[in-house]
Amino acid sequence: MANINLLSTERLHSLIVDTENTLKQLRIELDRRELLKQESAIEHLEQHMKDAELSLNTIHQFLAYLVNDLKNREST
Amino acid sequence: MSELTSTLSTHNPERTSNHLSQWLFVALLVYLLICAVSIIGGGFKMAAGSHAEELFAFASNPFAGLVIGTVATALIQSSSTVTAIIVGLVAGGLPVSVAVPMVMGANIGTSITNTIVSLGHVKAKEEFSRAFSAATVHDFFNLLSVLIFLPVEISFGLLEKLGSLLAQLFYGGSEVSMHSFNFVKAATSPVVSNVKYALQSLGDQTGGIVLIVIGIILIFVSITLVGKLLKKLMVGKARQIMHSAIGRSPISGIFSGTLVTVLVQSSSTTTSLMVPLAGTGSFSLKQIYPFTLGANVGTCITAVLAATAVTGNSEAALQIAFIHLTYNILGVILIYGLPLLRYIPVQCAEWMGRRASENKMIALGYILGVFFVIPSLCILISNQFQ
Repeated sequence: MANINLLSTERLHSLIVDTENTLKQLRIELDRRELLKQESAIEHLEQHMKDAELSLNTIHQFLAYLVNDLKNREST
Repeated sequence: MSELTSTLSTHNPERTSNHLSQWLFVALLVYLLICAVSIIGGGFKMAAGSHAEELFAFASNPFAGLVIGTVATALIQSSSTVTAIIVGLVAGGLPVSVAVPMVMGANIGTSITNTIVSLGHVKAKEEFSRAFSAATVHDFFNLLSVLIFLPVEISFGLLEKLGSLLAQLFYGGSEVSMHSFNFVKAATSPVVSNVKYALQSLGDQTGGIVLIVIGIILIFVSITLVGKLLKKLMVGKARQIMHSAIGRSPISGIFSGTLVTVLVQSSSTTTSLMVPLAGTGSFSLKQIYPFTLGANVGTCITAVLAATAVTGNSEAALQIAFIHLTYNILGVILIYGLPLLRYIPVQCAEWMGRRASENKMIALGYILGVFFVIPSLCILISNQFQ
């Protein structure tokens, strides 16, 4: 903020109060968005349950990724 | 509108009857599970006779018992199956003191499932870091729990005493005990007796071993099918429970984790479910941690249920089931209750997640090390000192 040293003490106090209020509102908005994101994730619980199923394919894909990763590292 | 009404009226009865038949199937599978635990107990008693203790002498070393529980669960991918088998073996004469470390090991072994599930997120670095942390927080909690309770158990037999006290409440000398009104046992004993009778012609040893194998297969099949069915039937209820826990205290998260696990009859399902939720960034590690702890408690219901109707040494069977329950409840109370210990698993898991996302070989080394290599080394070392 420019020329902060020129502002009156009252003005500084009022700016601090405003900033604190804005900060509070921003935090509330962030929390609200986080809750909405979580609720939306839970709405798709069936999909998450499918994603969370164990399959040999997961291990196979992971090992394939590891092999590729190692090859890439060796080539560079 | 009338079309909708007619569609609903034609489809609802079908859906209801389908649900009803699925619930009946669940009830049948639970009945089968209880029978199977008794069959294992009967088979073990038949095969081992009075030598049950000698037969499991190799597991009298607590570390060996711990490793057996860990590796068996990691291979079968179900702690409920392993604890139900342990309950059956205890009913057949396996000493409770030998079974306690096995039950602790089952807790460690079960966390391999969600760790493997987290490998599915390997392609995105940040996502993998979050998912791997979400999976390993369960491992670190269970490892810390064993580090605390195994030495206490070896020194004082705390869990054995607590389990015995709780079992005595049901089997105590009072007139109104489980013996006097156990309808489930009355319903399962004809099946168990008939299976035993049918295999008696094979002789005590062969017949007993065949009974144990049949029991293990039945437990595995029934728990797997019950898990699959309940997952389908209970997804709506689980969603409701999780919705109500959002934005609330961690205690509410622990209760929700317990409830969801009781509903789906599998801690692996609950903890694996947390992996994509954390991986996508919807939930932070600290938010899913209480759910994971609740899963540990909720999974004990299967063994307690099976132990209430088991034949043979029923009191000891109920004792080991209660030991599993008290161990998990005490673990949550102690580790989550003490601020000093509370976030150790979270910190370890965050560190491991970061390291594994930077070098994926660490993830592979971690899984092989924690679930197979270190347990095998423990057995080798403990055998050297026996």
